[in-house]
Amino acid sequence: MLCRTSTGFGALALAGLLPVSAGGKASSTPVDAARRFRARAKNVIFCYMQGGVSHVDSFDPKPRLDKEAGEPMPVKIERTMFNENGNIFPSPFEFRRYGESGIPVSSMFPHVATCADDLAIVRSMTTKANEHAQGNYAFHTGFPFIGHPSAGAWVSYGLGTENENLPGFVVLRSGDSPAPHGGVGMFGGGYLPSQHQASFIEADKKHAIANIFPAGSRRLQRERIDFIRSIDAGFIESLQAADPVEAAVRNYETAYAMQSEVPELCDLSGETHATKQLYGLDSPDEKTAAYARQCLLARRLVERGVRFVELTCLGGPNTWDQHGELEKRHGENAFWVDQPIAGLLKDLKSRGLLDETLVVWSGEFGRTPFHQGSDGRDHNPFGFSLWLAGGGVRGGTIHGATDEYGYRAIENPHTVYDLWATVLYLLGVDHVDLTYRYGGRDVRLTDVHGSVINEIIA
Amino acid sequence: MYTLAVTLSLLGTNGADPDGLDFFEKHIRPVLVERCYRCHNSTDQREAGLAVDHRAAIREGGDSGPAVVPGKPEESLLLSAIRDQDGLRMPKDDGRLSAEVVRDFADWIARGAPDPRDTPPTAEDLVRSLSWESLLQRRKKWWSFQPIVSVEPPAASGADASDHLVDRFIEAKIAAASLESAAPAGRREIVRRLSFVLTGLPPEPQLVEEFLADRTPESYERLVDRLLASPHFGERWARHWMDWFRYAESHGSEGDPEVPLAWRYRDYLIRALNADVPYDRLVREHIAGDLLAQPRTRDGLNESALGTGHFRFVQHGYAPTDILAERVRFTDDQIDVISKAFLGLTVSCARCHDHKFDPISQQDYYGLAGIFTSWLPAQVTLDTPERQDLHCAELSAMKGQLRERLAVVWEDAVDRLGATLLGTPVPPKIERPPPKTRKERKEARRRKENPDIPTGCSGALSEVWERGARSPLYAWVRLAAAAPGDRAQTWSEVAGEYRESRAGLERRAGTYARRWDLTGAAAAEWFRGGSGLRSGPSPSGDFHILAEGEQVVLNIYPAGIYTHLISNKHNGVLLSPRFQMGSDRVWIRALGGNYARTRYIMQNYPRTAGPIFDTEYLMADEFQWKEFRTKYWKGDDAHIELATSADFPVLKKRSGDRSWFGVTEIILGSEDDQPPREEPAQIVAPLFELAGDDPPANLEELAALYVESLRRAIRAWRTGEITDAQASYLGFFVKRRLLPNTLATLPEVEDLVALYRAREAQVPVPVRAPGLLPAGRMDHPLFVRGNHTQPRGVVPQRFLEVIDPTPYPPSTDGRLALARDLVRPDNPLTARVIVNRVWHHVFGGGIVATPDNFGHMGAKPTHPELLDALARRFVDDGWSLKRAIRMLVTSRTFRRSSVPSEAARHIDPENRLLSHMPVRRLEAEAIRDAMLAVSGQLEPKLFGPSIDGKTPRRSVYIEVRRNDLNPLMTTFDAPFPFSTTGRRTQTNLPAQSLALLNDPFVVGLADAWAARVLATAGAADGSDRVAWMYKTALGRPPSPRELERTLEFLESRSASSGEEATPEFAWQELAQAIFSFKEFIYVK
Repeated sequence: MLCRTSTGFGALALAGLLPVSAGGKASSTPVDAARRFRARAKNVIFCYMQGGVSHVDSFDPKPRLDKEAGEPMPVKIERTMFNENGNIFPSPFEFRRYGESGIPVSSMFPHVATCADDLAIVRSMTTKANEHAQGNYAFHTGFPFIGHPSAGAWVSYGLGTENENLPGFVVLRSGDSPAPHGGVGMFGGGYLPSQHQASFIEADKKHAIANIFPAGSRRLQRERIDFIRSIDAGFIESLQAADPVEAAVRNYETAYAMQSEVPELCDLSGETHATKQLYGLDSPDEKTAAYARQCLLARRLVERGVRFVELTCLGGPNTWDQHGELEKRHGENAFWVDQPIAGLLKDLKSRGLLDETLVVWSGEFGRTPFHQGSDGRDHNPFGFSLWLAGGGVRGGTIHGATDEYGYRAIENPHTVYDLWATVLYLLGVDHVDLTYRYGGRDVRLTDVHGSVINEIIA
Repeated sequence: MYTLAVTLSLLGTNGADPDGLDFFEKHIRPVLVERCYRCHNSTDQREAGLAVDHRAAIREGGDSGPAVVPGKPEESLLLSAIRDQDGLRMPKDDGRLSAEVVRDFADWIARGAPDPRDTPPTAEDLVRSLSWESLLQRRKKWWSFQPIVSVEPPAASGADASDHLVDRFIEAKIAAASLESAAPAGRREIVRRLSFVLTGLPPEPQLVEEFLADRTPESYERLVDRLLASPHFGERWARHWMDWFRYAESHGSEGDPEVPLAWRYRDYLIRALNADVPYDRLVREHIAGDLLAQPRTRDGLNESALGTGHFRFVQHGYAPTDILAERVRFTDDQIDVISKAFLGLTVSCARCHDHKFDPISQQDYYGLAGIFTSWLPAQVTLDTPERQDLHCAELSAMKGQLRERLAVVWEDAVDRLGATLLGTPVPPKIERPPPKTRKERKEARRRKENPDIPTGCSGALSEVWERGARSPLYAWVRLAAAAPGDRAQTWSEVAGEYRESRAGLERRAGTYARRWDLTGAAAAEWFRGGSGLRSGPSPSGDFHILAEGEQVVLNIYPAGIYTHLISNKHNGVLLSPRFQMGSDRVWIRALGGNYARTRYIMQNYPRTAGPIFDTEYLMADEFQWKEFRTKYWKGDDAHIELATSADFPVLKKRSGDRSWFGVTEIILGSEDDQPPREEPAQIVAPLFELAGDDPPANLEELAALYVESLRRAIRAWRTGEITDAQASYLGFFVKRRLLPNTLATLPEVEDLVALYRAREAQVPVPVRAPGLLPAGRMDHPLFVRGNHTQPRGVVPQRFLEVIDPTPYPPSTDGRLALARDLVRPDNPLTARVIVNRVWHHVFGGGIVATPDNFGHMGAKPTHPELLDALARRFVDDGWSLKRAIRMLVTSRTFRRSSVPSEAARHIDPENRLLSHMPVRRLEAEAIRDAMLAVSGQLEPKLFGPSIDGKTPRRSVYIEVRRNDLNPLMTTFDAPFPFSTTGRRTQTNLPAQSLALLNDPFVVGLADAWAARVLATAGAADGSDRVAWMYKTALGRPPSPRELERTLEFLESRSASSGEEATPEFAWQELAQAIFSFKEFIYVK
């Protein structure tokens, strides 16, 4: 695995180091030319719930499921992954209304529920992908397969960075959780210049970024870099005009600077006990504490100007995929993220950062209102819920609706393109303008689709 | 410039500026028609009040004011709109106008906007000008669709001017721009440059010294030839090719299953490039290598068939519920890559609508789609017919002899069977408690699907308790267990059961919606592939000789299709014709062994995944009915497949080289139908038919019936007149060794069996590779707006109409026809695209800067005549890639220094004129390979299965798994394998610095190199060692200043405090520093 250990230094790259096009003119559309709206948010924190959270058990209560428990679905059921469809399955979780807005949230998320007035819940999401890997890619890149840039990469490409020593798109990981189904390609930069692809920060490891620390001392590293530079100087001189090579030389300095920035970022000793408690860092549950650490690091990253931070659920590549044991395992999964996410929202708010930080929460699809097997739910791409909070979002909103069973989005149905169009809008960018010339087309995150969900914007 | 133009425009009205009008016709009108008329015309669409289809309207403008103010570009709203200024943004659809077109408009307006369009076009004219036919005619005028022209290269001027074709074109343009070419590069620089371009490796120091010492005029050409002949040439250029075909060894998505043996395609490329197989040949092999009448062969394998491997490098979803959407998408992937790679066209853009910019219609797209959807992703057998048939005739003849001898022995032995039966007590029934634990249930299922076959009479009798009436000995056990007085009654019961079973069997034929009897004519509709299925259905009584062990005959079979009649090393793929799934159930009567499988294929999808893409293993050597529930898939296109274990497109389990199956019948039915079952009548008929209406009076008579019925079966077997039931009946007794079937009991055949086995051992194991098998010809429907739920009409298979719209006749195979069309003489794209690709890799940038796009959205050639001259020469030269490369690297242009002149830096900063050689960073593979080579760790082994990144072999062999790409490769810009990449991006990232500074793999190589330095240059002093390291890594000795600085660095390392200060440490640090030198990863 020697070579594989370099996973994750990904592309820590920075403004000013522009891509060198291999054959002539630069092929990108300058983002400055993109039409700008008033930016309501500066950064995005994306809490991705891989595996597919059940919406009818979390943010979209359906009393009808209780009334008709155990009866066959009265509407046509589309093809499902496992073709093992049972009858109507009422939620084992209880819903209560919270906050002034009275938004119903289930007993899965008691902490997030206390932030109800900050949430804008979209209950009418749909996706074309019915399985995890494609769902994950579709959600992140707009296309169900590897090759296209991740939303975080688009944001980094579109807005650049505000911290030259940190990447624009960071994916946080804890434990040894593998990537969601489909692999790390869903965080990739696709055809965008590779500095925009995700850099992975291992939230709970000393070596937060692979290769960040030299084997020897910092002094030796400094001396080695100085030696390399002195020889490179001769090379550049022999070329007389070779900008790309000069830029490459500067990389060593940036790399060196990162070596102090990253440890500082990950050092939480300056945070108060109250803050740590708020997130749940002191939780006796290892996974809750680990996710809490990701949430706290996310705040520290946006404070330092990182544009797009994505958090990773613990508990495997498919955490929320409960084809069985839904009550038990959805309950566990929620317990691991509930307090940390609520802590993040509250902490951002108390620091005045929530106004400029957009928090997005979603899985790749929802789950069926009917049984699969005895106590699980199958994938449901026809209707599910997500929520946004912070930067420019109208809190305490519910938008869109599924049918009485929570099976299909019937009111204001939306796609992932609409989500990203909205996110870009809140960041001040017209999604139609954020393009990159690839394969003879101007490609975008929203493909040829997408409209801003105006109803959830403050 | 503007001043002049404006002055000209003042000279007169329209018509007085013929050049201006000409300019309008060439550069302005086509853009207005194509990009503006649809929304801004005087007939039916006048958005924002603006029409641009005649002079008055465009000058008058719309709601916001005049669109064009003659002579005043800055006041013309049309210009700000196409420049995306002032909040206007046109055209609205995707694809901005290029900077060049915007400049044309500015020039046109500046020169007074000369415009001959006095009146608006009539409605008919408008429709006509916007029709596909009219667009096609206009778009066909794009440079890349024009015939390749022969232009005499500009005369070489000057006394020492180069007469080289490349130099004459390049120098002429340099001279025309009043520039001078850079000086020749130094000889050390040249050998390093050439070595990386041709082999992707740094030159060995010895090669450099030899070249420096060789002062003869031919020294350079000799060096070129030497490097072109290196086996590493193929490795280098194969990797480029793999970029064009998004080479990958897994399908992505959940599970990321591998494309089995994808690496054979990579090896094929390396061999082909090293052997300089003509490019047109390789193009044809990529499309239809498996169908060529005269394929290239190697060691008894069809080398040409390997070319089609790239069809398999598509991504596949996991268990897609909308399976037609999946087929559309992966077919699109194939069209996308083939059209970009060979034609430099983005045909895939025409899936939903006619191409927005190029002369490619939606009809074109679906004409091509049908060619590809007529084929299934598959594993194919590469063995030539000769290799597949090797020893078959001889083994078959031996089987004939064996049959003779066995029949004699058995006929003799069968008499004893009666006594054996009478002398063997019926064992008591063994009660098995119902399985409780998971393990027990699994075992019970295994026993049901793959029952243990007993040997000997007692076992065979005991087995009856499990098999019931499906055992020929059922009657015996029933009667033996009955009291003597009840035996007549018992016989009439079992005989009644038999008659019922026979009636059920007869009814079966008419019961179901569809039935394929694969023993008869229906078999001809099915595709048979693999060495085991070379001939059609076998008649009753064929049998399998075991390749090893004490037992001789595995079984004797009824008529059917079997893969293992000669050897179970032989393989087989049996595919049904395409049918529309209309049934709830599919039933397959098959047998097999060692993970042979059967499955249903929906819409060409190759994976088995989850319960909706089910599969069944064939693990028992007796017929069973496998059932698939397919109601879910009603309405989708389907196939049924049976295959030996290694012959599925996506593998689950495979077990060794021996696997087999046999099949007789396939039934499609509804869930209300009685599922077909294995009827006892199919095996016990010989006994009851012989008994007829004359029941055996006692066990002795019954034993005699068994003996006589078997004797008749043996005789019929010998003469080839055996029935299916007799074959199964005889097979039952033989398999259980109730007739002699071991070497010890068959001394009469021992020698012949030994001979058979010796010969069978020489039967080759088939060699498989990714490829295609026939799905049945289809002409594809056109999908309205690309929506696969809205098919409309059918587009016959054909090539692009811009070259030839003639549909391929149904008698012609679409892939063969396409293969020919790609390289036909009047198709100018293929040759231009490949010489440009070669140029790109030799010079670091193409004559067309967008090697994958020769369409309207691509770049235009900087040297169109040169491109044509090269393309023409390439074709005339027999499409030889090596000669094309040789031609380019022997030019002076290639051998120039990388230092531009002062003038060039200002006049041609992008170096489009190639007055000097561009500096370029090495690709990810070359960086890793160079570190391996320099450190002495590189294993030069060619070919074979892929490796992981830490194996010290060349990077071209690193496994490309989509969900787990090698991070070192991606950090240095190796592409994601999802579409054609003719030009890699090249980025500068701190992550690259970090990798070279701290990556453990890099550190390990530095350590190895340091150890080598200390070991091989042991006696030398520090300066010599440093010099050797520079020469090895950079192809040159250090300058005095560098040497001094390097020795200082070593000194400081040795003086470092702590335990690090070993002698090795300083050299390790130096080795790693050299890997970080820019000169190490950049080539001048």
